[in-house]
Amino acid sequence: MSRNKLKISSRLLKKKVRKQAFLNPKHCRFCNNVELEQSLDYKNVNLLRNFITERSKILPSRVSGNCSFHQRAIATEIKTARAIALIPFCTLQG
Amino acid sequence: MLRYETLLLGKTEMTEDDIAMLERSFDKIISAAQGKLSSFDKWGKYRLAFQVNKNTNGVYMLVRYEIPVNSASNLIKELDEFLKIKCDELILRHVNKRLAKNAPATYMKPESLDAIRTSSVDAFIKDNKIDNLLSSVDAAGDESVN
Repeated sequence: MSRNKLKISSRLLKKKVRKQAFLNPKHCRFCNNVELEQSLDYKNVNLLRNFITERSKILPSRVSGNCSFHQRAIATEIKTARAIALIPFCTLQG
Repeated sequence: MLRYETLLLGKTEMTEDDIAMLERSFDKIISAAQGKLSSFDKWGKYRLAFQVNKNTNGVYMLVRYEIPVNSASNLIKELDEFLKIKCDELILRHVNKRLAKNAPATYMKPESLDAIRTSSVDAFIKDNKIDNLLSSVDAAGDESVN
């Protein structure tokens, strides 16, 4: 018996993703949270690890949900942490 | 008075005398600029994220100080010169940063290698409550332990 493979077109998937972004918008976790904002530091490696990928690339704000102000702050902190060897510049997979 | 901090990355071969010498020279440079050294924390030995001058481990030190507004730029230049030229063999990297006025005194730092290595196997087993693997029997006499 041949299987009927359901072909979902990429156009429909993109439409679904756009709808989800409209219905469940992401919020910046730093806005209106003074404690978290003050703990945003290049020394606070545990917090910064939430915003880098497996290859140690900085996550874009549409994935992490940060507002532009805090995304820039996080990017500068990650870059200073990289300079002093707290976070790697690049990790190879495997 | 402006608040500044410097994070130093030194080689693991640094002795206690070297660190004391560093602290004294920092004190001298900062008080020459009419400033005050707030704190000198030694974080300990860490595994670096990548090799720095062929070193896989390093010692971190955090220095915090307060200086008046006029002498800030000169002091930073002097510190950079001192750390790059005089302490070339001890210190690999350093980062200066200005702290905000209302920044808290406490900060979060990553876990050092010393903190990870001092915990023993028995303590780990007790923390995670894996009763069957305990090598020594408790005085309370657990029935599940053989």
